[in-house]
Amino acid sequence: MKPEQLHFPGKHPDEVVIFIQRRHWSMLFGKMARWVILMALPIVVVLLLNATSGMFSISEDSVGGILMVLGGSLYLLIVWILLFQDWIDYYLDAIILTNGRIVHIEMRGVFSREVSQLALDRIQDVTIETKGMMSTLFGYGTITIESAGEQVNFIIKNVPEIEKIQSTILMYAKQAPRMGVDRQQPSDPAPSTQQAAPQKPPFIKGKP
Amino acid sequence: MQVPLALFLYVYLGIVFGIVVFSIISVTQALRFGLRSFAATLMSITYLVVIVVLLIVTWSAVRGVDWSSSFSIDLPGIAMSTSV
Repeated sequence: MKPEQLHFPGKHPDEVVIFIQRRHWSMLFGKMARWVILMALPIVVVLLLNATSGMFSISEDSVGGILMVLGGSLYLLIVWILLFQDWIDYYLDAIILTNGRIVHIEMRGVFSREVSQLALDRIQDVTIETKGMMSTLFGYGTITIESAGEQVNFIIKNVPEIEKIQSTILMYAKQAPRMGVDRQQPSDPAPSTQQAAPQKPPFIKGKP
Repeated sequence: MQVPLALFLYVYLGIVFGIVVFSIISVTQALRFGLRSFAATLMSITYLVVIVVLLIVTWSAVRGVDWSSSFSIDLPGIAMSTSV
């Protein structure tokens, strides 16, 4: 799916998505690796104990075997759920740049989410920061979008390809006042799709 | 101390019921806010399929069990306190 065709909750009908960006994949990989190890751990322990001392043998008649099957099943289910929760947390956290605003969706658990948005013409500066060895190696970092007025700054961590994102946001922010695409001012005339994207952005990324 | 085996079955089924309800809500969340993409759909289907397979495997492993039986647990602490 192309970014322009993307639909997200709260999207205006005439709003055009320029890109969607999630956190760097290594953030997800680290969490997934932890759950996969936790899934494999009891199986390895039982096999080792069974091979060395013969305990934990599962037979249909033994109560220990039945309880171990039930307990092991519950354990795997719970770890699998936690793995899925981490995936949801990764997948639903995103920065979406449209022709009028930046939307930052932050999941805080399955049933809690925070959606912040900033009109492009409110952007004053975009700062990027790469800190640490892993961050430098994988090329991700923190983007701070400073806004005018009393609105809080956007701080988005662990974002890949920050230089390209920075230049894309700055380019659209520079064009925004001229285009009058600020959705927070209802008196402004609604721009057409053609007006919203006058030139090809240097960076279009995202496979939602 | 005699412990009925059915107690563990009820606890297991209760937790499984909670997990299934929670999973359905999680998947709904993922698909509702998950930008309705192929990846979100695929991950959600995989998630549910793994849960169903795990439950089937577990049930087939304990299918022949006589749940009306009980087993004894030797708890020295409890035995001492009751004897005193």
